Amino acid sequence: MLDKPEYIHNIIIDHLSSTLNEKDEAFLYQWISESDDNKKVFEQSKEIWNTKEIINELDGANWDKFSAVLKRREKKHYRFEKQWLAIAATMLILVAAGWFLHSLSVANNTLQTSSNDYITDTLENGCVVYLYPSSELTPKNQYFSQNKQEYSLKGEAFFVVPKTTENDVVITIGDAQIRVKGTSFRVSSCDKKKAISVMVESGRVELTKKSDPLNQLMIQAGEQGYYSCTNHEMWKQEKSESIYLIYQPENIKTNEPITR
Amino acid sequence: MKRVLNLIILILALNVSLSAQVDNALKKIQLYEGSVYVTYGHRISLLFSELEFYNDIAVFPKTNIAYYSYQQLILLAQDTAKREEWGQERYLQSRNYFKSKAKGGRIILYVERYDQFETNNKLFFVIIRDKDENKIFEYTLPRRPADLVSTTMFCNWAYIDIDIELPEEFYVYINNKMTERLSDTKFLIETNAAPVVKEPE
Repeated sequence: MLDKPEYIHNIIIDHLSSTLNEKDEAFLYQWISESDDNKKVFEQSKEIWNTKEIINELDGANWDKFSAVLKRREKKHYRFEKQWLAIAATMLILVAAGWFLHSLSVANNTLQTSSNDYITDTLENGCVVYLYPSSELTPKNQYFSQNKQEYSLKGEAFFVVPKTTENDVVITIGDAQIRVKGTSFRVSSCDKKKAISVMVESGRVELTKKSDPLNQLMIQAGEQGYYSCTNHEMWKQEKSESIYLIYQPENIKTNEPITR
Repeated sequence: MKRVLNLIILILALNVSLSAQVDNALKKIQLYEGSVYVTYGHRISLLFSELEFYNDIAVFPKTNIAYYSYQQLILLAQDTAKREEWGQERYLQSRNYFKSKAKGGRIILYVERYDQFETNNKLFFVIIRDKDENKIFEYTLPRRPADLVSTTMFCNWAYIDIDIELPEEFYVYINNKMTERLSDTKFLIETNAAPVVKEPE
């Protein structure tokens, strides 16, 4: 028994040579009406059939030649469709995999606070972070970083980076970059002074301009470094605060009085 | 007699000149159970605090502490000696005092209460325990009448010098004898969170 494309192709030839019976004629019209692609195949066959040269040569073995031309056209059409499907599927898989990896490595690890919340968390490398209200800490892509762990900060946070941390911890805030190991410090985005502030409590912190890493400012314990958000200058002075909050619990938001 | 007088003058001088009694930030800070704050580079967590009832409404009584390590006290004495042009003898006396009386550092206590009598220092005592809850230091504060903050609020403050060496992390209990509770306020001090880099001379 012939397979479907073979059968279709035979009845198209029979139709064009006006030798098709009524039943097959009805089947052919049904098949043409099923899709635009089928219609296209039929139209192409008709076009070839109507070409004078081919009609003139259609005797004996040339039937087979014409038949082969039609088959090739049909197969090419199906092959073309399959190729596009494969490309689309590959693209889809790649996009899905990329999104999955991205969400695993970044989105799920992002710490974010609303305007009233404080968050405290211990990062994978053992660093303890206290995130102030309206702040966000996002780990950067770790796969391409060697000997350092990078985070991007918006807002304000207090970090305790243990000396035992294997790699340097790099925090990017605006145009500035902070590189540390074995230290505790508080960082805040552009404040009233229009400068990023780094208040160091222990160890030391290296403050650099992101676009010019050779331009460095070393800030020691008890000092506060600044990075101007306007002219990108860096300077330091004695730290301005000795006592400050780094975390407030969530339940204080309920202002309902407790009676005896 | 002269030595005793010298010591009294020294202690008074240290208390007045090393710090203006209590840092304003310590007075202002409002803590709740779970609050974490930094004082002079050390991380302090308020682990629990019993509520105080005023007109039958519960309020968080202000019991705030700060901590100076021994090394920081020595550095502070050096800075003060330079600034105030102390003589060698006075500097050495203060240094020896810290060495014998405050080798575990100093706790600065600030309290606010609605009751004037309950705010007298003589009603407070301090217990320090290690991470395994073993008692390592105990001190009952001497008498000191309360100061007035507002028409309804009283305050007091104290320096508690710790004459034994302390571990890097320890618990501080601030208790009031007038309450029926076993313990009123518990803090965790983590000095290793901010180790002093500058070595004392």
